[in-house]
Amino acid sequence: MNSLPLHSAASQTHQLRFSEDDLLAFADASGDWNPLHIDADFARGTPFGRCVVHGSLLTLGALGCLPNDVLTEVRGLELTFGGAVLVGEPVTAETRYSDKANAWEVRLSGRGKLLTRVVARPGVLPGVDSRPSDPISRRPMRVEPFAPELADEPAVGDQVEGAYGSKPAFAEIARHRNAGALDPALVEALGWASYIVGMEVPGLHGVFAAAKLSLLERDPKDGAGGYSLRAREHDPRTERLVADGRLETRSGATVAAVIECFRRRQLPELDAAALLPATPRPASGRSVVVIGGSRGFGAAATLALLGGGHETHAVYSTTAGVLGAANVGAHEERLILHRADAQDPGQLTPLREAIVERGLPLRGIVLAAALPPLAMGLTAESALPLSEYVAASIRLVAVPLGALMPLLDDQGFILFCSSSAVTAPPRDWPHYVAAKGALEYLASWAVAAAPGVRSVVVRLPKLATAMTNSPSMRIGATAPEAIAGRLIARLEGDDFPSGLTILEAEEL
Amino acid sequence: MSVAQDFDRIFDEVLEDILGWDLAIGDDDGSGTVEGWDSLSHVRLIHALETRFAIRLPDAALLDEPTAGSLKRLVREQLAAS
Repeated sequence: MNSLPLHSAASQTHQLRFSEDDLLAFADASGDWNPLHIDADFARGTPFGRCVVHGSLLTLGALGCLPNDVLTEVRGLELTFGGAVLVGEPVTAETRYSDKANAWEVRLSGRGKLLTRVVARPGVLPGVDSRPSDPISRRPMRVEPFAPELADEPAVGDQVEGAYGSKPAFAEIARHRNAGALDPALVEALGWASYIVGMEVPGLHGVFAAAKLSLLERDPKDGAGGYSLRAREHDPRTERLVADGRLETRSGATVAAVIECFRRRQLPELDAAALLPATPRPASGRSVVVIGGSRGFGAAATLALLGGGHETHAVYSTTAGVLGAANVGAHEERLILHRADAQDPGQLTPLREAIVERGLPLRGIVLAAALPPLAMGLTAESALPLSEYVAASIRLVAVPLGALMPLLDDQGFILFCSSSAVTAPPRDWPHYVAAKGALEYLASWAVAAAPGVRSVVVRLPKLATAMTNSPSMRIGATAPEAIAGRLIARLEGDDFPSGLTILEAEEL
Repeated sequence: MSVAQDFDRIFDEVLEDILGWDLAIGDDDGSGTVEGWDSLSHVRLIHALETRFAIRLPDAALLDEPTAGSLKRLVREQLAAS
């Protein structure tokens, strides 16, 4: 086995950032058009909240931090993606060499966490020489991600074959990222691995977790430009999938791979029928507003309030989701949808005007909108994104509160959606805990500002929503319908006195 | 090599494969002390241990924040029970 050039054993650091244009160019050149990377509306409905940089693009950026004479010797790559890097988010790359491992490592950190680890080795990777049968099928590359049905589970032994070839611009991206000295077959394999996870297996709901890529051989004749892939392990608990793969590049090289990924479960739609009576109740003569009303707990609360006969204004940022006419049926005339960014005072003006114009007293405000909390560590550097998260979260509560509190009737309620994380803080969520703490103190302030109002803080348990739809978080998550139904029934039954009430998760 | 040494070697190999080399992870180390031992790599670690030792760990192990030592004990218990 060759040795990699040593250079300086001392580590070096570099700053990296990836723009929307970078992600679009990568998608076009690699063929990985998964919307998680390029469609902000789609990304908003995932636990990431914003577009995520392709793992293979991060890898090219990381490798570009290594010297060219190291890159030319690399024959094996190990990639690990522990946390998402968001579009525009700064990351720091740190390189180091291990004599014992005879390998270079690049670690990408951001938000106070290690997010990506790339190991470059001079030889074939042990255990990554398996050869699923030679690719026979030349099924053309997909232009839309494979989107299996909910019940369509991958099975061990499943095999996928097809054509693969990146565009010439892909090599240019590698050069632009200073990784042009890497063997072209490994560059191609990075594009292929991204394409596989984002477009083929699992496809639309795939999350790239890790890969090992090993350059096996090079044949001077023209290659096929195709691949085969066979599922080795699948675990339905977390939807983790491990597959062995083999890529024959058009330049005649063969790369063996082990690709590890997760599939985000498609969440079942909220059970509208459980919250809405078949025949609408008589009108209550009151209105209510739900901020963040189209998804998760907010959508369930919207349906429960609608079922109670209230004229219900639901504010959403991206899509009306479950609140479409097909689900709401005969209740539709009492549901008023407002697409608005609740952080923007100007965008809430039409909502306020609509409530005043329709003339019904405002009975309640539900503050259910929240920002997805990506894992974060607290360091001096990550304090800035932490404070930005907290500030944006406070705006999501304070802007609607400021706009709507003057309209609230004397016995009205404000439901502040907090979290059980406040009493049992998860280690990786300092920003989320700080934001929910601020929300709870605004609830306390609301009582001082409007003494007759019922200010209710609900510390919700982990709910099965888009925000928790990740491999580990969704385990043990509770469906939001039952909790929303019970909570709204208690609010309707005047179960809570005026002043501040804090409800713990176990009281729901 | 004894069975116990063999167990430790395989356990350390899995840890190294998932979390990285040169980390010198002790029994008291865990997600709070090892950089990169985050929730996703923890899930990968549990699955990798299950595959390597041909066992099934309780679902709770996917959620816990254990130390390397407590994880080692859990794997040993499952091996003994299987």
